[in-house]
Amino acid sequence: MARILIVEDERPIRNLIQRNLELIGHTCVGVGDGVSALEVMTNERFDLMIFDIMLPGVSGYELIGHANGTPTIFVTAKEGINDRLKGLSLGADDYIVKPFEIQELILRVRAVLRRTKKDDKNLDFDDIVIDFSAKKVFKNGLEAVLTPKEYSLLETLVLNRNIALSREKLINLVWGFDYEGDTRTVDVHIRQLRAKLGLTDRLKTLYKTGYRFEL
Amino acid sequence: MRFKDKTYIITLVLFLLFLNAGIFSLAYYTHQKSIRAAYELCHSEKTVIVEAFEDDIEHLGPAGRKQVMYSYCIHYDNKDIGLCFVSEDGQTLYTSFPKGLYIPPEGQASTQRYEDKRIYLITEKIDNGKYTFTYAKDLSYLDDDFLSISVVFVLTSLGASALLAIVLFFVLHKLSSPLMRLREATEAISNGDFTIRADDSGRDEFSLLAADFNRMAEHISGQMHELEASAKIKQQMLDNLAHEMRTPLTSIRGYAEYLLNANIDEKEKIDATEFIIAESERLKAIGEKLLDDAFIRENGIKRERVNLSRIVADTAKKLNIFANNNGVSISVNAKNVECDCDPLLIGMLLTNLANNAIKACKGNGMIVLSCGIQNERAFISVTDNGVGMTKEQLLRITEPFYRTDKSRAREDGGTGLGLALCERIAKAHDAELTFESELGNGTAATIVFK
Repeated sequence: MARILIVEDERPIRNLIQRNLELIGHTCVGVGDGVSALEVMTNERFDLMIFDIMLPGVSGYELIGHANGTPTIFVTAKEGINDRLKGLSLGADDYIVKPFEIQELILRVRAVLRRTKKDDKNLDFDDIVIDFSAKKVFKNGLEAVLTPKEYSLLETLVLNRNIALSREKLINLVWGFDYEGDTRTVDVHIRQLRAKLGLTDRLKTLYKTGYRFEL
Repeated sequence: MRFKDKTYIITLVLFLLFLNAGIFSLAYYTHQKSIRAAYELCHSEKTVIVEAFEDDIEHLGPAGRKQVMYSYCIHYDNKDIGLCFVSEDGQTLYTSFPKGLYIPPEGQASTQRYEDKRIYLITEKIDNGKYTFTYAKDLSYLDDDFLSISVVFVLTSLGASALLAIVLFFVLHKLSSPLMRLREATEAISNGDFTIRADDSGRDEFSLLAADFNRMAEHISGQMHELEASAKIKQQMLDNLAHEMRTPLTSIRGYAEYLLNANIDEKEKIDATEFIIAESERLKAIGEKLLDDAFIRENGIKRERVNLSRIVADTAKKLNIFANNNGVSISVNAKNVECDCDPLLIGMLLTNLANNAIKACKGNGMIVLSCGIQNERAFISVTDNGVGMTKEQLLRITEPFYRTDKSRAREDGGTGLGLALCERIAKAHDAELTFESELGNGTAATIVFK
């Protein structure tokens, strides 16, 4: 998974971003001001950097000038269109306005990593290998036969590993916003995945919350 | 109708009226005078004729009188003078008069119209009453003269009128142009352009008016700028408030989701919950500060006679534990001072200032809370030996949400509204809140009552 630098002066928010990204498998370094960010940036390599704009010491706008081609996302309270344009024109790969949902941040981080080819090509755990680029799943070295919806449900759960996703959210992410069927469709597909791949332990049903892939 | 046009028409009409009246009375007077001169000339001519005739009659005797009359008539007829001789018995002896001319009675002179001519006649007895003599002269040239003079006058008057009309137009245009420019300026301002000023050069009433107008415009635009500035400050405050509330809300929501969805252990759950509580506290503090501020703004203050030293002592006692936990000691230097103030609010102000002082100190801190009288005015002051502030920071500390050290102040649970609230309380008391500070050498905050 990716190495991510988080520069955010609000400790609770920095912490929140860091914990969530670590949950889904990334390695994170979090700093609280621009000066220490510059120090960390010169000494270490990252796959992605997340900057707040209003930072003590050195602002996010200045930090991005030292990014050296590393993908960058601004996470800021500055919501004006001019601020967005400025952020993006400085070379940011994405711009997220506070308050944001963690799910949104995870999706955008994933999108940026995929675009810059820093995402994982495959993931293996237990006796299973998921090949993200070929959209195939192997169990014990044999390809498991999954329908496209089953595969994309598995992919979504795996990419958001350790975070529970509600049935509604899964419908949105896998079937799309315009899907009109009911949420029991999700239960049926989950049952299929568990049966085909033997994921009963990994794929947990949570009371009132939804499903969570634990790794 | 515009003022300029009104003035133009009225001035032109009045002027032409008086000009023409003047011209024509002058013409009439001249005419009358020339008539009188002509009459006098006629009388003297008549006297010359009569004397010459009487002389001739005396030399020639009565026999030659007809001959004399004849020659006189012929001679003067050539000079456009008619003569008539009538005997004592009323018989016309000789005349060069045309028929129909009325002969006035003796001793009289009269003017008669005859075939469009003006004839002047004088009748009198001559040669010791032997004859009645009538002298008649054609004075038509007087009428011709009057007519030609009248024509000249009319033409002159017309020329003068035209010239006057043109000159008056330009003069009035020039005179009223400041008024027009003033009007343009007024229009520009009423359309919202407050940078326009009227031309107030010169010293006439228009310039004075323009100067007054400019003063008014200046005043209004000043007030506009003030309003704009205060609206801008309010907007900024609102933007800041939105940001200040958004940050804890993001955290609270994020940690709640985290608790709900994430596969985490007990310790992490406690951490997340603590974040939620801390951030809620922050929101609560912001809300309370804003409410306090609104309360003071709306309700004003309730003054009562209190001893400031009591407020100082109470505050010191209240903050002692918090100060000790931060390695800061509080000392009190309070003299008995009676002051009319709202004790609750002054206590709040002092607590805020002392809180800031404690946070500004890094271990081994010393804070002195004092009150007393200086220059016959009651004062309270809070002095610390903490980190101090730069001049730039000092200028901004009472702005809502301004923090000298952003990240640290938030960790301390500060809202960024404390000093703004202090300033509000001081203002409500008509008191002066001042800060003195030097980077590294601590800060002194003083409230001086009126």
